[in-house]
Amino acid sequence: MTTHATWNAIVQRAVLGTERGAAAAIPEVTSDLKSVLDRVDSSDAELALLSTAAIVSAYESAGRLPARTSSPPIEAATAEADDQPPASIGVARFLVTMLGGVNSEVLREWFAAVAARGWRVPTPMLPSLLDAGRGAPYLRSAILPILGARGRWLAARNDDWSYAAANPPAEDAALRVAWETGTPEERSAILAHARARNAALGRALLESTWADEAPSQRASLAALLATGLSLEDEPFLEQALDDRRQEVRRAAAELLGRLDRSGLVARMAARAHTALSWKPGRLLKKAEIIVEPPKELDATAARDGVEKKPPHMMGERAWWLTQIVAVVPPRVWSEKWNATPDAIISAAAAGDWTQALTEGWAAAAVLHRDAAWAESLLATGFPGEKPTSLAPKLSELLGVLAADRREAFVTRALRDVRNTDAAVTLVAAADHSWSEPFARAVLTWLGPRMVAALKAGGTAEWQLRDVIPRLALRVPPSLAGVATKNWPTNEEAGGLAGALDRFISLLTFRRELAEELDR
Amino acid sequence: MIRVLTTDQVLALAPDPTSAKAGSALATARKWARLGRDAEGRMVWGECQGSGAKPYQTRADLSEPAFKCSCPSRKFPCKHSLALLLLLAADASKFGTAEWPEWVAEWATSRQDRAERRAAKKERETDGEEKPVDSAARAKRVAARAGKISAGLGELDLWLRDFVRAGIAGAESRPGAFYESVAARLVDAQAPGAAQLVRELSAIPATGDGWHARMLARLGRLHLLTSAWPRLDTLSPETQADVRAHLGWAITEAEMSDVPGVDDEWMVIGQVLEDDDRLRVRRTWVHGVSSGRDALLLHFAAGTAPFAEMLPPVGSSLGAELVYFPGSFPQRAIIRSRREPKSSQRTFVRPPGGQRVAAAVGAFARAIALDPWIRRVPLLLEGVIPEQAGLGWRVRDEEGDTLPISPRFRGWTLLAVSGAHPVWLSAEWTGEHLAPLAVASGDTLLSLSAA
Repeated sequence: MTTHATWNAIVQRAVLGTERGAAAAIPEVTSDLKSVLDRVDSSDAELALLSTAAIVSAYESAGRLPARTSSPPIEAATAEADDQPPASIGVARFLVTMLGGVNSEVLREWFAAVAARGWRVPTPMLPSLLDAGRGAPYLRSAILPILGARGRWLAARNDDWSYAAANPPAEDAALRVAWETGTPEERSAILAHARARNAALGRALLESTWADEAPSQRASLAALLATGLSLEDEPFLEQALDDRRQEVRRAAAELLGRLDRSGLVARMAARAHTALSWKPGRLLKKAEIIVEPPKELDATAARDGVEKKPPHMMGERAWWLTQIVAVVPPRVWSEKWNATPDAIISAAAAGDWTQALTEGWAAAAVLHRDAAWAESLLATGFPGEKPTSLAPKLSELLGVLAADRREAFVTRALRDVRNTDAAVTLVAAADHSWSEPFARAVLTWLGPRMVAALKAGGTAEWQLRDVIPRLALRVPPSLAGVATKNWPTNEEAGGLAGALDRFISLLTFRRELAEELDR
Repeated sequence: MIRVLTTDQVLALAPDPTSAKAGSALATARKWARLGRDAEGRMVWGECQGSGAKPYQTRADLSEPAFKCSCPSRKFPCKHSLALLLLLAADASKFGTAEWPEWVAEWATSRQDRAERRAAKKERETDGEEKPVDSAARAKRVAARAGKISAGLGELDLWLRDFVRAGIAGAESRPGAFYESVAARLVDAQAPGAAQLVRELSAIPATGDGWHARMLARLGRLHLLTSAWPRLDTLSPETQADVRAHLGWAITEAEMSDVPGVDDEWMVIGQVLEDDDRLRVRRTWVHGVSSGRDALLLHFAAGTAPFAEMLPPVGSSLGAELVYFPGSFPQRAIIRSRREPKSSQRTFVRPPGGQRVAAAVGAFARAIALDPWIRRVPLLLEGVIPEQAGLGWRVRDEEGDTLPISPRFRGWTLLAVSGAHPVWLSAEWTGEHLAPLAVASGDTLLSLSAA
């Protein structure tokens, strides 16, 4: 009997217990162990079992050989892994801190800085980085460029990380195979990649499988055509307007709306022209807009994405009008009526459909990136005495403006002492990387603003508490030392102390990161 | 020369991640007033504004390091102490050189007093041992403890017999008290090592397939202890030492003063922290660069207190004279004296003597043949490839020999670092599972067991 079989027999006996298996003798062994086992006193069943177990198990574990496998090892990562140099240990330490949950707001900045320098994430951090991207899809596009070949190789070995695994084949034929056989996340990545490389190829991929796509996938796949979008996509998107699923129709209408010269935009413009006409001003008489919104919503308008049911507190006709105007490039109106955006907006303000029109124009200015209109809309809307319906669009409208125009606009608002709440809202909406002069202007303005808000309490204080920490992500890190010069001290900061601390620690963290990046 | 700790080293002192996080948040000069340090660079101090009216007074003695803070936190070191050292690591220029303020001087004096009292007590004890009267008293104490252990092991023996008489299959439905009552008895009998072995049994039924065999093997080893004890005198001095060590009656450091030490550059090849409710255990494996010997440095800390001995991080070396506890397979050691390492280089150089899987397993067989109670040995594996095997992980070498990795270990970092290329790996091997400690990555040794 082999020792292993003996050991199994002993275990079996112990499992049952000596009181049940008393009759069974301890199996014979033929190995050199026999001489040792022979010395065990077999008259005492428990003692004999324990002694035998001690001897045989020690013998077993001392003699255990490693298991040998004949299966080939997995394909090792190639030397491509050296394609990008890794970020230094000092820089990587910031990533570890943030992935551990401290100052994770700065993650995107870290990703962007490392990508801009052509670095990759050091290999030991890849698993936690890939996990972070799994939990936060909005981070993925920033993570992908810094994974390096090793990161993509690793991601391909764990289904949880498949979003990062797609290393789309360079040849179209291989890409097609990958497209047809990938997991949903891999396919999204392949389509995005194909669109960026060759928009027509990407569309062809999507068209080739469109009829078989799961309805739930269609909308998100169609939305990926946003990359490299052109009029060549129009026939496909027009056909998607007839899809059975509302999300797909909506996605298609949204994309066609972005194309100035699409049929959909032309149809919307025709509807808008029917609804709006311009009555130029004369001596002592201001210009007017005659508004006649559609009375019925026909099937073609519904097909173009105009929704029938208005949101709460809004009339049907106003809702339809807003949706139609929202798709028409705003410059159409300036050209057709030969009037400035300011003139048109103030004419609308005098009429009955002010809100429907400004909301529509605001959406259109954002959709078609029309900076002139965006600035005019902002100027009439902010800072105002009372909150306007443009508030939700504020950040997007500011985003249409070039950074210098945006900063100039906000700086003007800071000087307007009548409505500081609105100025805080504007500051909060300016979510780009601030220039140094602008950052200084805002921070200097914030000091007295905080003192006033602490005195007033309520909304003013609450608003600042919410906004201040976020500003730390936009201020140039070099200002970390001087940013808070005229701010209340810790003792004076009262209810704002937490927000100030957060601001300072975030900005300090960013400065330390910036220093480490330049080291 | 007193070291200013780096940020990493300070964070390593934190009793838990929450404290590390809170300490980092407080490590901004804005939160602090009257930051200072003395000219020798020994004491640092500062006042931290907390939620109360009075700022907390935080002070640290860098020579140990030791901490004292006036905050009510029960964590040690508290977040203020950590923040103070983090600030110092980040920008020492924020600390003005000054005389000790009164509240720092008070603490320094009380610490000095205590140290003197301790030294005096130790001196008395050392002197006392030379006196024949005390030597007789000591023999009496030893005999008393031996008697207690005999009684405790007698009960353990009965318990083991009952266990196998009823059958170990029943262990699955046994309550924790089944093990705890006999373990508590062994603690009373001053055999804490045996108590620990019994406590560990309670987890075995939950370890899945093959637990019966694992349980019986452990029972067999316990039986070996209970049967070795009564005939201790007939065993070799090494085996006597093994039995005593595993029972938890290892010889004291004072008794080891005659044992010759091993002076070497000891590379830290891995560190494992184990957290019990009451006690934190730190296992640090070091490898002598010249001697080629491995040693285990064990440190204990109660609750959230820091470990008394600061050790260099994994991949760095410790210049020291180590003294091994006696035994058939000497493994555990204490630091007799340390010096600054000869080379201050941060790059990791693979120590020679890395092994293939078969050779490493052979080394374990030799260890267990000498000391059957041995729990784990460190392995330095050369040219192994980590890979997934079913739900778990394993390493393989060029010959195709494999070792299973502990199911608790998440292998992705190892795979990321290796890229499935052969790597140099240090690990603990229990005979069942491999617990990776550190992997060579470029010119650094990356710890894989970070808590």
